[in-house]
Amino acid sequence: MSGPEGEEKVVKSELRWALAAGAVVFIIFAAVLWAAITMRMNPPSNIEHADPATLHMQGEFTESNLGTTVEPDGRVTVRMVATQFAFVPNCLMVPQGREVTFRFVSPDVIHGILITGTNVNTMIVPGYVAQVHTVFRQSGDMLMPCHEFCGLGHSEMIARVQVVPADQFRPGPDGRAHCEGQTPLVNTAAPGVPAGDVDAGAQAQGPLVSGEPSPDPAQATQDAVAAAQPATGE
Amino acid sequence: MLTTRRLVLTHMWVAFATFSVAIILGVWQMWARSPLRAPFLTAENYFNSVTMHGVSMGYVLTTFFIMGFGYFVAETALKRPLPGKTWAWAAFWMGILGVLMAVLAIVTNNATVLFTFYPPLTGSPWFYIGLVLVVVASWIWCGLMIVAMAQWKRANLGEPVPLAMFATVANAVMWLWTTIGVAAELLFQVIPAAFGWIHTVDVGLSRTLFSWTLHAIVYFWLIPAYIAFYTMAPREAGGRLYSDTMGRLTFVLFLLYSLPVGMHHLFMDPEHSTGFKFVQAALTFLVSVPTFLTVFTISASMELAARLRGGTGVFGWIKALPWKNPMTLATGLAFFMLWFGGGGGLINMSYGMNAMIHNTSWVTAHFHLIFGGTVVIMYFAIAYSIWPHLTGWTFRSPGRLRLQLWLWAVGMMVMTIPWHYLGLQGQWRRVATFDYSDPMIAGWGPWVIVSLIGGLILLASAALFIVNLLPPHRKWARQPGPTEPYRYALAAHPPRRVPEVLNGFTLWNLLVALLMLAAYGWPILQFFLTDAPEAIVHRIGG
Repeated sequence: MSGPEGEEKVVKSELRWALAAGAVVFIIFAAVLWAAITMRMNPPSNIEHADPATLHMQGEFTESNLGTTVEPDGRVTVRMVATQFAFVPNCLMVPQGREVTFRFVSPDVIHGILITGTNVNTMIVPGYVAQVHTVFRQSGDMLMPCHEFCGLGHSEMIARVQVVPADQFRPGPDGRAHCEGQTPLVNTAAPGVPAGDVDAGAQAQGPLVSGEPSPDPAQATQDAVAAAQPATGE
Repeated sequence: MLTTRRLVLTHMWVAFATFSVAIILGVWQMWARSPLRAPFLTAENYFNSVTMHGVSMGYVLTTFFIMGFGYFVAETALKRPLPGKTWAWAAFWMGILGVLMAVLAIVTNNATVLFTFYPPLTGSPWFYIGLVLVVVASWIWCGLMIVAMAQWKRANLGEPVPLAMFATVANAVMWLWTTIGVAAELLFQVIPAAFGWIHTVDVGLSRTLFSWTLHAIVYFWLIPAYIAFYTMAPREAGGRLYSDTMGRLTFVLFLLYSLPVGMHHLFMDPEHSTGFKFVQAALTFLVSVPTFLTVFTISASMELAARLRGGTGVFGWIKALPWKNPMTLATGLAFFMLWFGGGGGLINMSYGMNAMIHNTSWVTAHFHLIFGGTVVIMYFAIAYSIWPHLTGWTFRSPGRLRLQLWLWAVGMMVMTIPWHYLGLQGQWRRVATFDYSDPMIAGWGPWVIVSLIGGLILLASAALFIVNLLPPHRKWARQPGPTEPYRYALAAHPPRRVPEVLNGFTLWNLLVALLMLAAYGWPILQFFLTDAPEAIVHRIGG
């Protein structure tokens, strides 16, 4: 016996500490539970399928349907394709202070996004629709990079998000909103024009199922940056 | 003299040689991400470097160190020769073959998939087969550890298994459970895809199987550090282990709760429901308990040692500890860094809060603090402690050992504090370069340069570590080392008998199976019941 305490005392002190540590852990956990229930702080978990092989050809994620849309009921939805090595579209305009729903898909490999300065964050897993709801509290330009390694062009895969004050958010008659200075994916086409006939703009390539990298991803991103520049400082 | 001397030393040198290469790559990666111009910088070089750094640190350094250390513990704690030494050497060479295959695939640009190799991006099949060989080698080690303990128990009926060996076998048992996930992913999904036998892959399933392994693997790396805390540090500090029973309980809790928690790596994934994410978040909170217990037990053990040395006061005893002893110093530094790494981990596992930092530099900071700050610094201390017994010669200038440990801790903090900050700013991980001409990114530059300086300090520490270990092999530094056997810390109240549940793993294996069924049963089964569309395999390289 080298310590000053008897064995019973040792056990008692350990149990006291275990209770204290357990209480700390429980309190943190209770806070997490509280946030989940009252503030809807849940991770993105909608388990919704999207076939990587066909998503660009039919349905919600065809090229003409991508970008920011104000639905007839007033909800703002952003649809986006993440593909090696670009986002389509690569710049988004969204309103400040309104709920925005992001819906992402990937036709090729795993991607992921975050929007700097916010807690918008999701993995984009081929086979699934990744959906995130958020409200932007501040206006201004933000970065939306791909945050999961997706191949050699991964570092250049960045989109921009322009958050504008609600009174400056003016979607077109078709309910679509585009970045300032950005060639829209759909040139305010009259309703009824087939999506495939619309000029999609220089760098807004359709999702490539084959997974071939764009000829020069760095160039594509620089175009996007240049296109977004006029909006900076808003 | 130890009969496993050569076996242990060979494993350790493979581990530390790999570590030395990997750390150079790590520093270069920080350079690449900084505003300074790094040489050799291409996307391919960068991601090959990240792949090599991760594979070397996470799979090679750890596996070989843990195997070597396990053989050492089996012989010195059980005080009997290691059974199946031929098997141990066979496992070693199998591991070496696997490492060579993986390295060859990486350097020929055929495995630029990072150490997490998420499909449908797939590299050369030989990369994955190499990794499988390393895992199979470690399974042989697990078998040898289990057999060694069983033989000892038969020869010492009713006696408590020495804590160091009990913990080593807990780790072996946990590792067998842990590797099931990644083994299934590799054998049934990734390797067939890499060979071109299948053209689509269920990515939800592969991520789920990988998550099975992804958290518990960290505890596989960490348990040798905990073995040092419980069974080495108290003696080296001149005291005793406060409670042997708490030690056993801690290792059993690690076995139980390391496994059914991996889904917290998938919080941001769309293929799982909030329900199971929440269940595994709750279980993740439980895995923090054994670490809290360890902090208490080891602090109490150190206090015992300090008071025996004349330390007084509520905190004044801390001064009386033998800080000149490398193991004591490393334990103190590891605890310090564990607070930061563990604190960051509490944020990561907090379910909704994870969205703020997922895949940012915050995460990189967290696991470098846990891995470098707690795991590897204790690997250093273990090496310093057992080296005289392996080489027969003692260290001539222990000051250099302390300097090396201090450099490591300072470098680790200088590197990871900026990463934490940058992660909160939204700096994402896993990219080769940032466009610092962008006004939103420009402000990050100075912080990245500070972390690069941290990396350089770590590099200096690693170089000194290798230099420190070399002299005992060289003539000029030779002093006869200890001839008596290696001694582990005694408990303040050495157990004469322990309950059978704390002397074996049958019950705990049963409980692990139940917990895994509850936590992972449906999340895995759902992929077979609902027909999720599969992703098209993307092969890279030749």
